[in-house]
Amino acid sequence: MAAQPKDEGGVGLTRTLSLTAAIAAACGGFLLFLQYGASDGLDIIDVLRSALIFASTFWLAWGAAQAIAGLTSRPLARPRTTGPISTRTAILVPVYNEDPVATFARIAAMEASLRQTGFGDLFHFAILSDTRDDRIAAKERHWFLRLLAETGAEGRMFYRRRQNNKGRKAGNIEDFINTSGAAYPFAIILDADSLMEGETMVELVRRMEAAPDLGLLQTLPVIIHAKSRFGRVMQFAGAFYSPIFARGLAMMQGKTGPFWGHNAIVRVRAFAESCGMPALSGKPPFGGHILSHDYVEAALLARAGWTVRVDDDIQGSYEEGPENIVDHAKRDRRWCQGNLQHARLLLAPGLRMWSRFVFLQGILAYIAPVFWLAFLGASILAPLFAAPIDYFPIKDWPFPVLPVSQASKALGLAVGVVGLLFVPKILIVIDAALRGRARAFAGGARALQSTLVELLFSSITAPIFLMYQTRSVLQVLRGADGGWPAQTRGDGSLTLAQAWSASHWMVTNGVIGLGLANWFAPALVPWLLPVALPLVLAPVIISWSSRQSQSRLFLTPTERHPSAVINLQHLILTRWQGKETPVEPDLPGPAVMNA
Amino acid sequence: MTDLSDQAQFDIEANIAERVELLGALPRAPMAMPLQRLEMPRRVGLLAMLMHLRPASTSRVGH
Repeated sequence: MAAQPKDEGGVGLTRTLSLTAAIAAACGGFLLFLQYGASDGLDIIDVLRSALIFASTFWLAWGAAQAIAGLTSRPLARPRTTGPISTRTAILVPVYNEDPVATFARIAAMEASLRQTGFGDLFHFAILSDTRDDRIAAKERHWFLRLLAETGAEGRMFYRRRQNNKGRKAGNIEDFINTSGAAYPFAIILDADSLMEGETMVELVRRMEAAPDLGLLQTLPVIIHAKSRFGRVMQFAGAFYSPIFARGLAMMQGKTGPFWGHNAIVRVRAFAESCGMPALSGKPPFGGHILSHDYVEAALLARAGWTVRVDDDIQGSYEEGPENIVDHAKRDRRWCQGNLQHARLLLAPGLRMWSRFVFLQGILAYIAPVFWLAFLGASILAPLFAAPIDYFPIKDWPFPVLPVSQASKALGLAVGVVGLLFVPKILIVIDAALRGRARAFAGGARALQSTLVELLFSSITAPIFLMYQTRSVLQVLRGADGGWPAQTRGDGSLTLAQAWSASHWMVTNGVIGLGLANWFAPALVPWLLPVALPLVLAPVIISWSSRQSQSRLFLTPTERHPSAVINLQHLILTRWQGKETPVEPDLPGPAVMNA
Repeated sequence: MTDLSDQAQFDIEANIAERVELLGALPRAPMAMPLQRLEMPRRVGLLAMLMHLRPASTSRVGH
């Protein structure tokens, strides 16, 4: 079980401390900038910029508080149960125009891994196809028969394709429950790119059986199979930082934990009774089907009195991530619309206060970059609104009064902002080195190098993500629906021409921004360069980062020592693709370890 | 004896689809999933009521 304070008072204390720290940091940023801005006379633009700094700093500080909370605790040493389980569980694999060979190879690997636990018969796989492309659907049927033939899992492995994909993924799951829900007390919900050790799935069932009030148990999936520079940096960041952030989150959430849509187990009756998802009134993007249904389902389960929990000590839960910045941005566009749509649910009846706060956090995550950009824009234009300096403010005083420079305030603020971004990650490295966690990342020195390069990489790419997120927010606000694009998986390398077509507008904005700054506020140019230069170079950065990584940095535990199910999947996939099989399968290792 | 005029037997895709439907059919065990209430019913606020006020209608009959 995750390191959660047992009593609601402890949860309340963690929330209060974190919130107080974030608000204090935001107020500090606000006051510092107000003093800096007021040095040449206070005007409306100064107040506006200070307010934007308040909101942006609050968001950064809130993330830092989460990490620091996570660093203050360890997963509880929970006695391991290894006894039998008795509950039949469905493993749901929703697919939507995915590559069937890769997806079904994962299923075959998980099925074999489950059989090795001795509880394979209790787990049934349901492949829930929402695929619209008939050619891909034909391949799905073909590979399903092969899957059946190879696994011999007839009667435990099902495939159905919906005629219409009403309600998208949430509707797909709902359709399964309407058809077969009563046959399964539990359901493990996966994504097409999810992979789980058999022992991990058994452990999920054990924990559900042990806690009758537990409605949903979320694992922390680790990104695997990243090949590109961008993908491997994300993979490292996910494996190295995320457990700490997740533990901090676990300490604050109490019984109102998150659901990230996949790699989680649900109590089917609880889910069915609580999570029937209505379409919202009005048209997309704010009305219609709820896009980010997972957050809402977690909130609805909590509303109905069920516990929703994330257990960060469960290992052997994997997913794949985008291999380049453009694919990441496409996925983020969908998430952006889904999170902004939650504005409609902030006042939904009966929700727990924390659930409402989670919705607000999701909205802030996408609005914060807009605040930063607005701050930069306002700073460029600020000189236009500044009153001329009055060197003789005192009547009849013959000597000029020179304004006192407040540049140190701006510098202090910049240091504070950078600190909020960097310090939590540095603390995580120190913690990992001290507690021995860094060994799995090829040692403390390699983990430190990887972290420093990751900090540099994320600083360079941050302005690019800032622009993509701002564009997404503006698109949603003006009513553009992003639809439901299939996720791009696989190699993902981009040529310079492809990167240019996805980011030329950023180059234009970067050049214009620098030009305006040089014209209106030349003193601002050096401050603006860390943001503007990556924009001007965006196509090069996007293309370069999408190429195959040869670096010995960013090693993760699963990359160094792939677990049994990863090896099995590799073995099956290479065989199905007609390639050689360089990896021999191992027996599944222990899926759950106490860190 | 094979009936060569029966084209359906050569339609591999149709055969595969039939087999998938037969072997892959989900177990029938329906469970209801009632829709949850997420939106507050729209209330008519005081301002909206004032906006919708109309002068009392008067009869056109007479002078």
